[in-house]
Amino acid sequence: MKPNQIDRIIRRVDRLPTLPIIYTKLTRLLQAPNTTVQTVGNIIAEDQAIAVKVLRLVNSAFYGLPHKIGSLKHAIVLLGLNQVKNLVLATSTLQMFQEFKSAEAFDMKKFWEHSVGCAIAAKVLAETAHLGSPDDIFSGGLLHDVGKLIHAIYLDEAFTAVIADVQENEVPMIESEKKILGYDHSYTGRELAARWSLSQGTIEMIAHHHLSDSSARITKEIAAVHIGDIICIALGLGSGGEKKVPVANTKAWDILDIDLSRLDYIVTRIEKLFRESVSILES
Amino acid sequence: MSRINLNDVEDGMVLLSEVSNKHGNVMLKPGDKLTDKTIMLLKSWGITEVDIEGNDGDVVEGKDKDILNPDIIASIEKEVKEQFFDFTDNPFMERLYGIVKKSKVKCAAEATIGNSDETESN
Repeated sequence: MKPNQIDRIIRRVDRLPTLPIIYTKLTRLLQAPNTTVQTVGNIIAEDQAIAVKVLRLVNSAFYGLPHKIGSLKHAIVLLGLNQVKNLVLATSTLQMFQEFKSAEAFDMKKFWEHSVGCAIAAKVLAETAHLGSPDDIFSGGLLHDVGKLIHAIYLDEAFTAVIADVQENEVPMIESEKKILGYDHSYTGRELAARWSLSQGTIEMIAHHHLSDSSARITKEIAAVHIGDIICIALGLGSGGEKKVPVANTKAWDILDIDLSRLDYIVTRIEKLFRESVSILES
Repeated sequence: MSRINLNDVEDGMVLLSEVSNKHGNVMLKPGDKLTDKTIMLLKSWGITEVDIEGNDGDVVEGKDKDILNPDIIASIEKEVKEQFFDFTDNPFMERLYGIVKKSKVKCAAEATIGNSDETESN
């Protein structure tokens, strides 16, 4: 299959996975002037299940706040609109991932766990490296493998062959995808992210998270998602279908400028936040 | 040594560097042990991170080595190595590999203690 066939799939609006409606409503709200905390709180409260999970996450070790937060409004004031928007994205993507019938060989639940793990890992790395936009990096991490969603739903036979190739021949998934499909999930993910009108930064994180194109400029944000993805695979936090832990790009670790002695603590923190968040989000 | 977020610090951990408040007064010294009370005080002073004594990430801890048969440790190491694609000259991957290996050895050691506790109580 050639790239222009993927474009045709991406343009079929009626069948394409859409970002959760609540997330797109919030994104639009945040771009509008005079948006109030009240309005944002009301949108979230429309979906009780999401509202409850957002509050539980806010009160968990994820934020480690000193006092219990009892209302969405209070959560929004403390965390800011962007952080709350990302929490909503995390809580609503599980439903989105599970809505579509996908290739049987691809475990959608484990894929979602891997996506959440990468979001958390990338955010922890971003905070440790004192990067300016840990919330955008969180959403980049959450959606980094979204191209696999398209492959699993629309190319299920070919993708099943990819999964089998990865397991039997122990090759990286992007290598197998390029061989069998003609392109890999970072390309598909980039196309989908553009269709969803995500920010340029997020599109780049999705497009370059494997850093397989040596000419691509490595930004700190891309590096955080790249390294976060590898940490998750190494720790077995969910599964995106890889059999073995890929080799990290040395420049990506260097650009984050984090002392290697801090990696133990970073890993411990990621595992702790993952366990706590997944149990809340799946409940 | 590790710089740790105060939310993850536990009673009994030992400080590696002094902790000062925003006026520059030294509140705690290297070697001071943290208690639940001092952790709360540090938080109230607005301190978010402290340096804690720790060990090197890739060293299998002595007590885990003592509990497990060397053949078992070797087989765990082999299993973990096979989970990673080969890498060279990559300090990050070396460290990550070491952390995963140490964690698997630790789990095996804990499982061994658990089994021997069960045997004793039978």
